[in-house]
Amino acid sequence: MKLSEEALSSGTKLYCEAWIDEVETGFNKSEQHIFSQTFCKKMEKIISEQRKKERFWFSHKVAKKIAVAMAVILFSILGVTLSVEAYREKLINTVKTILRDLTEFRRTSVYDESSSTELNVSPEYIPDGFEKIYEFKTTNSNIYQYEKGDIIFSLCAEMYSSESAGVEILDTEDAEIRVEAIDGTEYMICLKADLCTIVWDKGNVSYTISGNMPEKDLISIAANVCNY
Amino acid sequence: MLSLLMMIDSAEDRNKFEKIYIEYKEKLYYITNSILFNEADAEDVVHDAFIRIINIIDTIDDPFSKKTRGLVYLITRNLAIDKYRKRKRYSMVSIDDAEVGNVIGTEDFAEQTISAELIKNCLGKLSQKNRDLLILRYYIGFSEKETADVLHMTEVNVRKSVYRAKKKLELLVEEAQS
Repeated sequence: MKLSEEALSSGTKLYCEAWIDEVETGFNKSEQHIFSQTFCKKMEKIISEQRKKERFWFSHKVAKKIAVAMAVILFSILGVTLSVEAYREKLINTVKTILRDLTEFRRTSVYDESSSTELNVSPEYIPDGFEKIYEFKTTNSNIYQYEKGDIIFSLCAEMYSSESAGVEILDTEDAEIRVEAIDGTEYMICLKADLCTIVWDKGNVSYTISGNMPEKDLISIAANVCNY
Repeated sequence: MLSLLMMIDSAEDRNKFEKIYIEYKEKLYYITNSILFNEADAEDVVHDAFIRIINIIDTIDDPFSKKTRGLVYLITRNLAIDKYRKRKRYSMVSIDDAEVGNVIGTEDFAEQTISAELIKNCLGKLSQKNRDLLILRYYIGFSEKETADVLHMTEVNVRKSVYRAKKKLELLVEEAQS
């Protein structure tokens, strides 16, 4: 013979309830007991510890529920935003801007009225073995490129006016950046993998020199660039 | 948001242990003292029982339900019996026999079908340990682990003991039916 779970459940229930009734009938007939002080003190301690524990778990639960509520609100807002095209565009642009700001460095030059407004830049020092492979000159922009085997560096000089302030944008993601002052000019050096970029201002000209060569050599080239 | 915050437990839930303490301390003392016949020992056992109850407080939903009462009384009675055994005042058999005689009678069964009443009567003929195992598993609804925690047994032991207790009960029911 096999007893089903339901039969066992109802049988044990009946037995237990009969036992509970018997215990409680006996208890109701018994005299009231006054607990000793030792017992009361021990129990007070347990209850106070239990209260502390419960308070902690209560705060923990509340914090969790608030976090869930906040996440629901956030996702609802995000859902509404993404369902409207105009909001979606704005959100994507905002995210792009934030990402760009986090990974790029923007440097704005200040226009100096007393400085020269002519641009004729020439690198006075070129390390041995380098050959000029490109040259481009306009009234407000001079670009040179030099090569030696696999090593290439380029120098770019741009004149800016009071209307168009010189703005340099550098990709600084995972890059090491530092500023070095040589002969009163501040050079911003950006090292990223094997590429070294140096940016500086002189007069109303913004200079950028960039190449896959040692930083020391690039600094020497930068320090010897003149505007005639 | 409002509905989520409404889910936060009420103050009543936070005081579950205190409620159990206030509701049962006298009753538990009655149970322990009726086994131990010693005030100090009875209070010690009540204290131990409440410590044991703290460990399983999460499994208790309603402090005043019949299930909770059964569970709390069962834990306390077992602790009191353990204390008795330690004192060697009574033998294990005498306690079991005394309780069987007190709680459940051995009258003949009028019905021959497997009714809850028949199972209840047969449960009374089982040993206290077997009975507790079946009550915890099938009435209180405890898992093997929870039952093991309450009865100070291993999970494997609980599984085997429940199986054996069930077999014994089935034999008793079969005998009663024939």
